[in-house]
Amino acid sequence: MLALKKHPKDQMTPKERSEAIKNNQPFDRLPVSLFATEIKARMIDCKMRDLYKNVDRIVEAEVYVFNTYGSDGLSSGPNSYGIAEALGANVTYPKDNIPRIEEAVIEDYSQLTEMNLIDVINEAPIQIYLEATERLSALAEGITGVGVSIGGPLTIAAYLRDTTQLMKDFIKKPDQAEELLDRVVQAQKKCVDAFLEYDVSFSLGDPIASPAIISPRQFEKFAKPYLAELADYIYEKTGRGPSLHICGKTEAIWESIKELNISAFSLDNEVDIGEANRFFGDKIAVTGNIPPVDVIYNGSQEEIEESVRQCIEKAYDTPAGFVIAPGCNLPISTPIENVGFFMDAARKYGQYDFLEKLDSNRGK
Amino acid sequence: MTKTQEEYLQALSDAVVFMEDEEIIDLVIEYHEAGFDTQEGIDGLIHGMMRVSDLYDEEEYYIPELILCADVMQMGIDQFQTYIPPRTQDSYLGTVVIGVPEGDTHDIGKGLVKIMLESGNFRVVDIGRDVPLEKFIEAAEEHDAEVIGLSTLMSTTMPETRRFIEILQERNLRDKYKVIVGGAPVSQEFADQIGADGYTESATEVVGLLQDLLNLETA
Repeated sequence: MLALKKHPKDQMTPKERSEAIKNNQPFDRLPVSLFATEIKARMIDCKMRDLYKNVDRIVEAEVYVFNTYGSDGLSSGPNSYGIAEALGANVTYPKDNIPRIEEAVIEDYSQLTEMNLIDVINEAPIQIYLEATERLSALAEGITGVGVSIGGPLTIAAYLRDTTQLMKDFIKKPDQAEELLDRVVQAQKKCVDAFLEYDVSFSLGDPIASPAIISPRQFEKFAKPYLAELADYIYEKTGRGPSLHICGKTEAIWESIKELNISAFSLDNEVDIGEANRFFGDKIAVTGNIPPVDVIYNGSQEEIEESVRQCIEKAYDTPAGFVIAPGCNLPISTPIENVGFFMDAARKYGQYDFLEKLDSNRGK
Repeated sequence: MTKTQEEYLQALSDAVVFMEDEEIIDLVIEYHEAGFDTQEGIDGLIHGMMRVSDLYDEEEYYIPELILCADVMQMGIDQFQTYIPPRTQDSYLGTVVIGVPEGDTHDIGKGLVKIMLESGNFRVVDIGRDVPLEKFIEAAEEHDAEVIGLSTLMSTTMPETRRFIEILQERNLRDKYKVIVGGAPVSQEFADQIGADGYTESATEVVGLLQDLLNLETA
C-alpha cells in the first residue's frame, strides 16, 4: 500500500513548511525541488518508457522520490511530449531512453484545421496523467502539493511542426506559426481545465523559448503572448500563477518574463541566481539553480555542499520565495548517492538557524 | 545593365545574409552564365555566411536566422556544384565525423556546426542524431577522419558522451582522432573532465578550433 511519509530528517511536511514560510513563521528548512525525471527509472528499477506510459509506475516513482529524499511536492502532468502527442505528434517512447519525436506531422499549415482540439483530453497521453494525478493527489492530501506540468507552447509547436521548420516559419511564415501556437495554447488550456479538479499547481516549461535559440524580439512575438495567455488563465482558475522554466542564459528576456502572471521562475545554472533574486524577487519566486552535470552528476559530496551553500546565500532572501533545485533535469546516470548529498546539503544550509545566521551577518 | 563580377559576389554574399531563398538559384545561374569562376562564386556565398556568423556573435541574428542563411548558402553551393566535378578528399583541410549521440535527438546545433565546417573547407560526414557511440568510430575509420564531433543538448543524457573517450581508449584509438564536443549544456569544464580535445561555446567558433587542433595555418 503506497503512502507518503514525512522524511525522518525533516521536522515538517512540505505543506507545513510552505504554510510557515507563507506566514513568516519559523520553518525547518527551505523547500527543495529535485527535477528527477528519467533518473527515476533507475531509482525504482523500471523501464524509462513506464515513466510515461504506466500509471502504477508513474505513481510509484513519485512516492519513492518523496519518501526517500523528502523533496517538496509530487510532480505529474503530460508536459510537452504528452500534449504534442495528444495533438497528433509522432512521439515514440523507447523502452530505455527518453521520448523522441520521429518526424513532423504538420507538413503544411492547411492541416491545422484538422487538428483535434475538442477531444484532446480524451487522448491516452492525457488520460494517463489524469489518472496518475488523481492518485497522487489523494496520497498527497494534507502532506504536500502536486504539480502538473503542461509544457510550453513553442516546444509543443516544435514537436508538431519540427523545430527547424518552426524556426524558419518565424521569419518566412509568421502568421501561420502564430496560428499553430494559438491552437496549441487552446489545447493546453483544455488540459488545465481537466487537471483542475485535483487541486494542483501548474508549471510551464518552454526550452525552445530560450535566448540560446530565439532572439528577444522573437520571444516577444512568438513566446510571450502565449505564455501570458496561459499564465493568466491558470491564475484566473486557481488563484495562483504557474511556475515557468526556460533553459539557458535568459537575462535578455527577464523584463518580459517579469510581466507574466507567474508565481515562480526556474533558472538554468548558467544564470546568476543572486541577480535573479534582485530582479524578480519582489514579485516572483525563484527556483534553482545547482548545475546538474558539473556539480550534481560530477561533483564530490563537498562540491555539492559548497554549490548548494553558495546558491542559498545568494537567493534564500528572495522576498517572493526561493526553492532550491537543479538548474535543469538531473542526468539519467547521476550517481544515486549524489541525489542524497544534494538533499542533505539543502537541509544543512537551508535550515532555519543557518538562514538566521546569514540574516544577522548581514545586519537584518 | 550587366553586373561586374565584384557586384555579383556582393549580391551572392548579400543573398545569404538576407535569407533570400527565392532569389539565390537564379542569381547563381546568372553569375554562371555571365562566365565567372565557380569557385570564386562559392567563396562569395561563404563570405556571406561569415558575415552571418559575425551577426550571430553580435546577437543580431539568432538560430532561426542562422538556419535560413545556411539554407540559402547550401542551395547556392548545390547549384554551383552542378558546374564543377566533385572535389577530391585532399582538397579539404580535413575530415570531420559529426553526430548527436544516442538518447538525444536535437540536431539543430549539429546542422549549424556542419555548415560552418563546410564553409571553412572541411569535409563533413554527418551521421545523424540518436546515434550509438560505436557508429562514430565506424564512420571515422571508414572515412579516414581526423576529427570526431559529438553534439548534445540535454543535461539528462549528456554525461553518456564521456563513455565515448573511454571506448576510444579501450580500442587504442584515442590518439588517432581529435574529439570535439558541443551543445548548450556542455561547458569547457565538462569537455576537460571527459578528456575531449576541444569545445567551443558557439558553432561559429568551430573552424578556428579545428585550425588550432590540427595545427593548420589560418587563412
